[in-house]
Order: sequence, then C-alpha cells, then structure tokens
Amino acid sequence: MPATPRKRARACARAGPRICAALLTLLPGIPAFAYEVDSFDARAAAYVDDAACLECHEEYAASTTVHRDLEEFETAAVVTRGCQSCHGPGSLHVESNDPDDIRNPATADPVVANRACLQCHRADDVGAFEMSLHAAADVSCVSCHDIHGPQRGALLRSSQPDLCVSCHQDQRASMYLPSHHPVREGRMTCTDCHDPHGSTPSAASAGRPNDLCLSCHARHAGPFIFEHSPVIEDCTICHAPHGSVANALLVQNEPFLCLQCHQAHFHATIPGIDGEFTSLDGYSAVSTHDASKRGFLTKCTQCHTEIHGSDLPSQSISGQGAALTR
Amino acid sequence: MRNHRGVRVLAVVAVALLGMSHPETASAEDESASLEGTVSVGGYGASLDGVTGRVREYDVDREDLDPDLKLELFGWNETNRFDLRTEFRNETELDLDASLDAGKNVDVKFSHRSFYHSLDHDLLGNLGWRERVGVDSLGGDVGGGKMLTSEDTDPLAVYGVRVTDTKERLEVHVPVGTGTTFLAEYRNLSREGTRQVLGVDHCANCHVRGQTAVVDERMQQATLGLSTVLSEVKVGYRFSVRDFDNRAEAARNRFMQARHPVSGASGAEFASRLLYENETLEVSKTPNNLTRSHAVEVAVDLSGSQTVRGSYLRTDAENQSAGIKMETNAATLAWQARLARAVRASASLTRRELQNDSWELDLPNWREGRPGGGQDFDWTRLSAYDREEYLGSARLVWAARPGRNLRLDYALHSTDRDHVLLDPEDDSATRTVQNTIRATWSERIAKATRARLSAEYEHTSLPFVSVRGICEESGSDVFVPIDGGQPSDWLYYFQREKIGTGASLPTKAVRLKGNLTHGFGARASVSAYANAAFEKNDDLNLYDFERSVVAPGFSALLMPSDEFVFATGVAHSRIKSNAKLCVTVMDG
Repeated sequence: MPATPRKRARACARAGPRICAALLTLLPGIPAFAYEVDSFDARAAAYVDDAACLECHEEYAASTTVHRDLEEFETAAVVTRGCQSCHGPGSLHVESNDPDDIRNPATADPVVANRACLQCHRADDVGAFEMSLHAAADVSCVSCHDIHGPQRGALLRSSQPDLCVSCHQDQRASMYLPSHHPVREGRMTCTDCHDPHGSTPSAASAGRPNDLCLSCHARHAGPFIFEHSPVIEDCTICHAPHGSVANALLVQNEPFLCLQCHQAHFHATIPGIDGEFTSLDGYSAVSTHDASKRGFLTKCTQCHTEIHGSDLPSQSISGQGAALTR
Repeated sequence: MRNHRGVRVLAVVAVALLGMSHPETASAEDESASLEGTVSVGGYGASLDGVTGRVREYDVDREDLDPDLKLELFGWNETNRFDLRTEFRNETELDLDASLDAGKNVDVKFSHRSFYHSLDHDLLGNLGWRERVGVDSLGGDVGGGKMLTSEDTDPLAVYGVRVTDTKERLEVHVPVGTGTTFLAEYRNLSREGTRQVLGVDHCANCHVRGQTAVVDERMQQATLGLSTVLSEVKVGYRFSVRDFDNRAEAARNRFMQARHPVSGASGAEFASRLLYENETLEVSKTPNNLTRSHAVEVAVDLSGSQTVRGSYLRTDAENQSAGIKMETNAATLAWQARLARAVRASASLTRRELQNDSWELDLPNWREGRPGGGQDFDWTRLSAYDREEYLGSARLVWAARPGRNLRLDYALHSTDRDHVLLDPEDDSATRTVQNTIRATWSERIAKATRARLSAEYEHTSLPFVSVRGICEESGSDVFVPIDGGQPSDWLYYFQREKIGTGASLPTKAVRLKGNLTHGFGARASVSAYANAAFEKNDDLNLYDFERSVVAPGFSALLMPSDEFVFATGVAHSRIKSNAKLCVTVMDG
C-alpha cells in the first residue's frame, strides 16, 4: 500500500527541507488537490488465492507474459500476490463478480494505473515516468503496454511508429513529407530519438550539444578546424527532423535558409551575356542576362559544400580559409 | 537539375503481397513450453523512373519484383523466452530483431537493419554565366573576365549508400542481493556506397566540378554500465566509447593555375589572393573522430513520494585527423515529488561547460607584393563550442479530477559563449537567456473523447544570430587606410564590413496547440488538431524577423483486425517568414 500523505510528510520532514514537509501536509487538505484518484477502496477487500482469479479469467492462465509469473519474483516483495499485485485484493470481486469491486488499471485513473507498475519498475530507467510529459498528459503505462500480452517487443500494444502516431498525428503527417527519416519505412523507430518514459534530464542527455543527432551522424562530430557555428548551436536551426518539403530535412530550401543569416553572394547582381562562351581552360557554358542570379542564388552548397565543418582550408585568402568550400 | 525539374512522373508500384497474404502460422505446445512461428511470403517492387531523389530516398529502383520474406518465431518455457523477427528483400534490405530472456537474470537483445539511402546527384545545370561589361558597336554583349562554369564528370551516376546498423545489448541482473545490473552494449553503424563530391576552383574562372567518391564509413560504439540499488539509493556508472572511422580515400580536385580569365596573363595578381593553385588536393574529407564518456548517476528515493537525482558526465571528443580535442563537463541535479495525491512537481538544473582546442592558422599575406597588399592574414580559430550553459526546468502537474489535467512548465536555457558575439554594438554580449513558460490543459470530455490545449510563450534575450552577417555599408568612404597608409578607393574583400545582424531565431514566440480525439471502441478513432506559432525577432538592427506557422490537420484510423489497418489524414501547413535580403555590388 502506498504511504499516506501524513506518513510521506513525516518522512519528507526527516529527509528534506521543512517547506517540503509543510506542502505535503497542507496541500492534501485543500479539496482541489486531494481528490480520490482510486475509486476502489482496497481496505475493504482481502487477498485471495490466484486460482480464484483464473477460474473465471482462464484466458490468462496460459499467458506467456512475464507478469503472469509475478509471484515467482521472490526478490520483489511488493508483488508476491500474483494478479492482485496490480489489481489489488480480490475478495469482493470474487464474491460479486462486479468489475467495480476490483482495481482495473486499464480503466482507472492514470495515476493509479501507473502506481501499480512502478511498484516494481521504479528502479528501472522508467522510474521517473510519473514526471514525464506522457504522464502529465494522462498517458498511463497501459496506454502503450499490453500487460497481459505475450512477452514480445516490450509488451507494446502495436509496433512503432503506429503506436506513437496514433496520438501524435502531426508527426505522422510530417513523416509523409518528401524528405524524412526512414521511420515509416521501418528502418528507424521513434524511440531511437525519443524516450517515452523520459522526465528530468539524465546524465546521457547532458552531453555536448546535438549529441543525440551525432549518435548516428558521427561524421559531423568533428570538432573541425573550420566551424559553422549554427551546426554547433543546434541542428534544428537548419533541419526539421520529423520531415520537410526541402531536401535533406532542411527547414527551408536553399538559398532562403542561408539568406536568413547571410547576405547574397556578391556576384549575383552582375549582368551576364546572352549566349555561349568558353573559358581559357576549355569549359563551355551558356550564359543569359540573369545567369548570375541562377548561378549564385540557387544552392549555396554547390560551392560551400562542407557546410557542417571542415579541416581543409578554402582557396581564397580573403576568406582566411574558412569559407567551407573544401 | 533533377530536383528542380519537378515531379513529372511519380510512379511507385509497391506490391504489398505481404500484407494481403494469409500468413501460415504453426505452433507446437506442451504444458510447459510453446513455440509459435509465422512465415510470410510476398513481393516488393518500386518503379522510380523520373521520380526525384527525395521522394525515392529510401527505395531502390527495381526492374523486377524482389521477394519479401518474413519469418517470426516466438518460444518460451518456464524460465526462458526468445523472440525472433526477420524480414528479407535482398542483400541490401534486411531486418532482424532477436531477443532472449534466459531465466530471470539475463536479457539479450540483437537487432540488425540494413537499407538503401539514396543520395542527391546535382547535375550543376544552373552554373553557367559570363559577365557582361558593355555593348559593342553592333549592339552585342561584350563579355568580361568573370565566368562561372561547371562539369559533372559522372552524369549518369546513381548515388546512394547501404546503411547497416547492428546493435547488441546484454543485461545481467545479479541474482545475489537485489537490484544490481550489469549492462554491455555494442553498436556498429556503417555507410557504404558512393556520393557526389563537388569542388570549386576559382583560379582562372569559377569552376565547379562534380565527381564520384566512395563512401566507406563505420561507427562503432561500446557501452559498459553497472547499477545497483542500496536501500533507497540507486547508483549507476556508464562508460561509453564511440569511434568513427572513415575508411574511404578522400576525393581529389585539380585546382588550376591562377591567371587572368581572358588574357591568361598577370598570374601573380590572381595567385596572390589564393592559398593554393596549380595543385591537386584532397576535398571533402571527413576526419576520424573518437568520443569517450563517463557518466555517474545517483538517485535517492525519499519517502516514496519524492526523488532526488544527481548526475555527472565527462566527455572527451577528438578529431583524430587534425588532433583537435574537446572536453565536456556536465552536472545535473533534479528533484521530483508527488506533493499531494493530485499534485506532482519536478525541477532540474544542469550546468554544462565545453572547452575545445583553439587552432593557429598560418596563412600567406594578402596579395603579397601587389599594390595595397601585404597584410598579415594569420589568425587563431577560437571555437564556437567554448561555452558555459545552464539548463533549468520546473513542472507542476495538477490532476484536477480524473480525466482533467493541468500542467505548468517553465524552462530556462542560458548559454554564455566564449567567442561568439551576439550584438554588433556590444563586445561583451555573448550570453543568450531563453525563458519559456507553457500551460497545458488536458480533458476527457466524454468517455471516448479527449481534448488537449497548450499555450507557450518564449522570450529569448540575444538569441544565436549572425552578427554583421549581412548588408555591407555602401560607399567607398567606409574603407579605412590600412597599416597607416592613405585612404584609398581600393576595395578589398576583407574591408567590406557588414553592418547587419541576421537571424532565423525569434526573441518572442507564442505557440499554440490543440487536439481533439474521439475513439469508436478500441479499433477506430478520429482526430483533429491544429498547431500555430507566431515568432518575432525585433532586436535586429536592420529588420524585424517574423515567422508564422499555421498547421491544422485531420486523421482517421480504422483497424478491423490486427492485420488490417486503414489510416488516412489531411494536414495543411502554412509557413510564412520574412527576412531582409541584402545583395552586394561586386567590385574590382
């Protein structure tokens, strides 16, 4: 059974600052902060033998899930009661067969549903789930996990990305934009980048900027001699990771993206001849009056190819080698 | 260019026999063990003739159908379980996922994915231009010396890489005592294929050359971890090493001899502006890099209702080709608590410091021996990585009643960069401070209907900008004497001071999100949503940056059975942004 607010307050007062203890004591006294999330009153029922559960719920007798074997996990003292480890004492339900006489995490308030899971999983990486964005949005463990399902694929109700985009519809739309990560092709999953149980920052998330992106795109890790500072700052200044109409997941097509921070190339205003020409080196091309605009205002990375950084100096001294063209 | 040609024909034929076939399932079972298996046979094909690169990004153009074979096996007994799923199309496209739970103490996971990733091929068709300096007596154009040419040395090449990603994970729960876990992970991610490398050479005229280069990259990452639970305290340590190895030889580009583009003379006039000429040099070379990190994490469960976590991370990254080393130190303190049955709160603060090696660049003097030249262009590259950051957050969640949820979030991100200036008028302006507040309301309106609204306001003081990145000051009088010389009309590239500050990041942003979902049982739902963002940066000195995004959408999902899923949706996205376009006038 979870500790009562008063017990928690006493424990908090011993371990933490006094103001915390005061809050823990006072807040539950305010009606708005103290609604009863658990409609099932476990104190009125008693634990019964698991066999009594399986007499009616025989479909779970052959379940392959690890949760069916909870009573065998002798090291987790709180879950030695099989089905009732999560559903609470079942005597009233056994007598009445009334669904309201037992706790059902599938229909219970998410706070109650999650608490049943976190009895065991608090020590896991998912232990901070209660403070996650998902929990804050009333997503409970059983929203995504089928606790009675077969022990496959983390008990997910369906595979990724279908499970995630059933709520995150805008991200599903992004995946169908012309440039996207191969998520809908099944080559990546949402959890390659996102931690659905995430909450407070972990040690792993406090690394260098963009470390998440670099965990796959390590060729851009450098650190380079010649840097492009927005690359260091945040990949999402230029890239939209869920999908984009522009190539290479760019948030805008070139040159408009580049022109947000840089001025247009100084050759772009010079008029051109109309007709063919051949350079001294023997290269022929066709020029038009506006050809300089076409050449210098279409795609900056045709010349500034190493936009993520380079160790090789560019050719012009005036750029001090830092023009990222080599 | 192919990408600008438009999508003339989009003909993707995906024969999904797999999904339409009836998988053959077999199972063998006794009282204590079970084995289930599914074999699916189908075909897959994609005709991509004329389809632009980005649409066909992950598809291979096939003449014929490839087989699509799928095998799933799942077995268990009283103490062990294994799960195997594999899909095979061809030697490039193969997926395999396997997991084994041996008893209660050993978990093993293995996954292997390989797929094709198409890379862009730029035909350089837009790169042809010669300046017009006047009109001759017959009214024809007189061409000048400035030219732009290009060549694609491999115009028929199809570029792409095979990406192979293999992950292995072993987790051992030590049976003696409670809560001690040993973790070992290994990942091998490789990219093999070809890509287009572009090289620009402006010795005699501006010439862009496209050529084919080999891609042969491998990233390996290994992690070892140990965690244990001591009463209410969980302690963990992880060591991770990531090694990126570029095994391909760098492409090389010929840089021609500097000379006047029309007469072919006066080489020194042009050579004195360049770092190199008349050489064949490596281009687009990706350096090897190595990253090691140590992470220590301590979590203390106080009274079952609040947890305090502390962590420390030290990362050393090295560019092994150039010998540049960078160090990251980060410490985090986080607290979370259930203040009352219906009230949860959390707060965290991270301090992160990065220090990267500086780099001395020894360059030739600018236009050495030429009129007005001889300036020393040596410089020290001080890294934009060097910084101190604070990341803070606070969250209060109030479950006002079952099904109703109100959340308040606050986030702080302070970045003090050592060498990146953010205000052209203030040399000490290096710190960005971003404050974000967000309120989210979530409501179960009816048993099967949920609504969610969120509103966010973000204020950023000195966001990351390109200082003096745009708009040159006009007029020759802005050019000052050099090294005590006389004022001159000589226009040098390095004297063309830009006075404008450009940005694509806002100082003020309001972002709104709304979502309404109704479920028809467990197998059907409809959802409508709308996102909007209004962002502005009015701290720039030449213009106000503005961006607005309005994106409503609708979707419907129908699952008659586990094998059949129908999903449809309409999304509309409107993004409008403005910025100042400064076009400079070419001199000289």
